[in-house]
Amino acid sequence: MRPDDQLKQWEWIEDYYQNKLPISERLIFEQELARDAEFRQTAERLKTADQALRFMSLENTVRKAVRQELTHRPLVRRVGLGRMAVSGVVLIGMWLAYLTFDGVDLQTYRDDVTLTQRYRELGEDVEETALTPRQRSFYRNFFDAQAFLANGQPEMAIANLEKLARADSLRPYFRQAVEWHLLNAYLLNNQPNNADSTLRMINESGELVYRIDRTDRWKVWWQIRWQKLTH
Amino acid sequence: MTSQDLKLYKDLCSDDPQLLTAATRQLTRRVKAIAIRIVLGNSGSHSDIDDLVQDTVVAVWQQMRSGAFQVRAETPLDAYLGGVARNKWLKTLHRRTAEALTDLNDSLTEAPGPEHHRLSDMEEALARLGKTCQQVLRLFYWEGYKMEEIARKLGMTMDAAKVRKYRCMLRLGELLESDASDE
Repeated sequence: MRPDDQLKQWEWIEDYYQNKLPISERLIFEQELARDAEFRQTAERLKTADQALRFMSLENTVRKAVRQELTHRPLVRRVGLGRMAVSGVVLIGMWLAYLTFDGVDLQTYRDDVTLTQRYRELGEDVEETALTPRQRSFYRNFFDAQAFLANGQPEMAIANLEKLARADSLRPYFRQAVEWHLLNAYLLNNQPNNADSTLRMINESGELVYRIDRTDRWKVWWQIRWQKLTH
Repeated sequence: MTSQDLKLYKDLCSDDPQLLTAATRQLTRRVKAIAIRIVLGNSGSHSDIDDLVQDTVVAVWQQMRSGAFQVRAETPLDAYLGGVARNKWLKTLHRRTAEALTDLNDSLTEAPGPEHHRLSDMEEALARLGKTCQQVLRLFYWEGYKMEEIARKLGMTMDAAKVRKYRCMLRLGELLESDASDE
């Protein structure tokens, strides 16, 4: 039934052209359209306006999307090739500075300290069955070398470590631990040639059992070259 | 026309703003590739490309939306896009050289809006409505606000906002009717 209220009537018209009316009501609506010219005109105007507004709104969406797409630039073009190149150079510079000036972190160093300190604390009380005098001497020298390194006395550490490195009966793990500490001591003492030959010796010794971080390997390699260049 | 082209065509004819936006951006990329060749190969410069792309995409969308574009399996979409872009570019060149344009097929680039109202007529009619009318209609149709939100924004009751919207639509419909009868 056609609503009496004006607002309800407009909503009724809108429901019709949006296909929201049930069939029975559509028939009544169409009868009203045929019967009442003024109602027909109102319905026609609302429909025309609705279609035009929808069309304009979609057209606006299209224009906006085209503008978005045209202003969208790939990262390289947005930032600019020059800025990207400068950023790249700065990053490479920072990376080289890090490799050059950051100390080599012997990751297992802390484990070694704990281990050697434990044996050192046992001192003379340790039973003969626990450590041989030779092992005890090794740990003592190794711990002292680590202490010298930590105290910024690489030349003292070198003396200890070179003596340990000459020992024949070291297991591969301890041999490489000594060699890495010795290499580090050479670097701290500005002896790049000795550091280089120690690194070659480590690389030629086969399986690397003493764990050293990849970045620290790069640091060592780079610092040897850097020291050779600057000395 | 490939199945991808067909999907693009359907999305361009969609009323869903998200689908329409994504499809338009895809169409823009394709038109741009074509426009670069046309403009740079025919006395144009880089600064002309974006204008041609914008005009071409809108014209293509209007053609598709109005049904003037016929889907043909044997005609690739790019060929049609190239045709529209070329005609648009030739028109631009002719306008620049102030020569009369007689031999171009306008039906390729001009498309009627709903019920044969041209877009410019619709925009003109909308501009002739009062500011509040434009605001209500834009909020509802452009921005997608619900009538409750529009009423709150304008400090009216919901019924008052609805009455305003319908009156504005009736006025717009009347203006469009009189434009159509003038032609």
